[in-house]
Amino acid sequence: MKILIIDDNESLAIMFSRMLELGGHKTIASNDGRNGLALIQKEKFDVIVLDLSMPEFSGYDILDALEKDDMMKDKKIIVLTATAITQEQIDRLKKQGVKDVLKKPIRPDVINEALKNIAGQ
Amino acid sequence: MVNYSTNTLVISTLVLVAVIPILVFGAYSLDDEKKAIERQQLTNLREIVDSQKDKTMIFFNERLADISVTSELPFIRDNIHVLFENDSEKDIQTKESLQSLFRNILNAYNYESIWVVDNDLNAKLIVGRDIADLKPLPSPSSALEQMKVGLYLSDVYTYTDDVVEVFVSVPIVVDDIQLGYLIYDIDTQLFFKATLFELQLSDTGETVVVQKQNDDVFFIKQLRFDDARPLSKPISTDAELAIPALESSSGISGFGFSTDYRGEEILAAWDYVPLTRWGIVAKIDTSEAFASLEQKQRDIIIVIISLTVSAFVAGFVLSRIATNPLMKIRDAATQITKKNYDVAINPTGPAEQKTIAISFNEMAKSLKENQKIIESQIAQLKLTDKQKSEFSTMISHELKTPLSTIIGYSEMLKDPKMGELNKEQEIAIDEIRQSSVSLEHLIGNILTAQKIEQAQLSFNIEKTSVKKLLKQAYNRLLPLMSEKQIEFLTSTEEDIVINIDKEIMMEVFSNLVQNSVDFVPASGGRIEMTGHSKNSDVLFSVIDNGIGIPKKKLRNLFKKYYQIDTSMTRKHGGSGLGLAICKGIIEGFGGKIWVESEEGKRTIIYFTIPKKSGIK
Repeated sequence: MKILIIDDNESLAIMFSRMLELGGHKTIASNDGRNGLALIQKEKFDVIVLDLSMPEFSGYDILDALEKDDMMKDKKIIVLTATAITQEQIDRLKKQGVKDVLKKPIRPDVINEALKNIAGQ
Repeated sequence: MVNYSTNTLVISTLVLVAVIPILVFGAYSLDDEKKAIERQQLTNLREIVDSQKDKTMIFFNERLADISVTSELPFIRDNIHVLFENDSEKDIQTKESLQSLFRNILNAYNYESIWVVDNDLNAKLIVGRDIADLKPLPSPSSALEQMKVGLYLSDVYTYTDDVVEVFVSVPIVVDDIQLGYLIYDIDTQLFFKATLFELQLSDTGETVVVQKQNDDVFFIKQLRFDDARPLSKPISTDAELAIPALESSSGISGFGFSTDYRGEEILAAWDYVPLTRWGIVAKIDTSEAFASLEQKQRDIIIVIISLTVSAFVAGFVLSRIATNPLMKIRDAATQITKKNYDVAINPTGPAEQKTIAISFNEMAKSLKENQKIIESQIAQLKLTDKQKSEFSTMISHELKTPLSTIIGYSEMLKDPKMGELNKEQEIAIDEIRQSSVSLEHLIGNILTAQKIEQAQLSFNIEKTSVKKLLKQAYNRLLPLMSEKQIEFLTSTEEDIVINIDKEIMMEVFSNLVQNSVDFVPASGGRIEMTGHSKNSDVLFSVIDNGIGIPKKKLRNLFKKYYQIDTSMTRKHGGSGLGLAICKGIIEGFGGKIWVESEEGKRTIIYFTIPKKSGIK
């Protein structure tokens, strides 16, 4: 699968890339929200792994922008979060079209399981 | 504690100070006065009795002398025998002369009647009333019987029309032969009038005259307060009434307090007159005698009442003066309690009150300044605390990101696609991974503890079965068991349903099981998680066969940053937050947590969660 990783932490983004590449996926990493949104709008990805908390332009902003342009329907997005998240927030994200919500730190088996689920859908 | 106001205190003090001396003085003065009045009244009464006694003696002695003289008058002495002889011309003339002479005597001395009787008491001459009118009580014969002894003053008698009389008699002796008696009849009422016995000197004052006849005692003068006729009824001797009358009639004299024939309390003096065999009593009602005393008593009571009233008024005014500034201070203090410090008291009145007001104002001012300082310090502290807390939360989040990278890579390194590792590298990677997981757990605990502290913990309550919950915990915690050789079990029943935040419960089980893993032996360890229905709760437990907890340490077990053995911190990597977090979470759900432990054998942590738990 072709996977876009958007995370402001560069080393984490690289680690995710490596992790997913070990699983046999093709990855592109971006550590800037706006840049990531531009990539989404320009290219087609099988899955987008999106960090919610980023400075300046966060994961929420990207999701809002996509929703505004009615581009959520064909996007398969997994969001990552380091902060605790309430069920309410998870429900809202799922309603926006987010496929899965994973908490950091991410283990290879967890992310692979999530990707497998999305591929099966 | 007795509660009284200054008002009460001042008033009662003044009342006591004013009234007690008056009461004491009044009591002494009244007592003295009473004694003086008593003395004076008795003296007066005794004088009256003495004077009446004298008058009686004088009067009747004169009458005795009169009759004695009359009977010796030459004309009478020479001619009286005629009355006892047969009629003749000359005798009739003599009789008429005698009659005329006796009439003159009767008129001159106001006698009621004068009789000449023979020895058998047959009337030979009657001037005035008929001897037949004399009442048969006591019988005239017995009365006249008494007269045979010579010059004699009789008892008191009465005619049929109740006129009360005393008789004076003398035997008629001619040529040594007793022919009969000469009897003068004296109207006692006239006597009493003539001697002023009847004069009533006051409202209740009275002179009572009594005589004992046979065994009865009669009053012989009309009573002032009783309509009964004299001699009509005897004075009752069994009642304790009219004691002075009874005593005086028996020849006893005396004076003092007593009771009269009406039952009234009286002051009296009494004496006996041997000549007439009368008792004389002079008396006055004590109510009249001591009337001036009662007046004085009333005066004293009026003085006491007016003093009490003035003491009340004075006390009220004084206490007002004294307490007004206190009231002001109290009101101001109340304002200060309400944090209104701008309550300056006007420094007026006496010097002491001014001083207090000034001091109070200074205190209020100083309090205000201090309050300002305290408030700003509290605000500063709150801000600092919040900043610290936010900083700590931020740091914890920041730690998570690099930790993600570390855990990610250490997991990835196990993948053969990354290249084969030698044995030592593999061990090193495992250590990195395990340490990272510990660190992750630790950060999680710190964040949860902060949320509990700030009451910010939010729950995702959902309905789940206890069986599912324990299964999930089992799967999540199973990797921990790889550290040692541990038998890991769960025990529950079907169909227990509970409303709970599963993720938070995972944190609870994770903390408890992690502790158990730390303390079970390297081999032969056993950890069991159970969940059973108990009334409206589910009773969970985590049981291990670890080293146990010393009794004296059980009490502090659920306190933050507490570890059974401080040396464990390094060895097991715990922060000492685990149990405190569990307690915070469980109590947040309305449950309880407690521990049972036997040193060297086992530890059981119990906790309950209400099945329909809501957040407290």
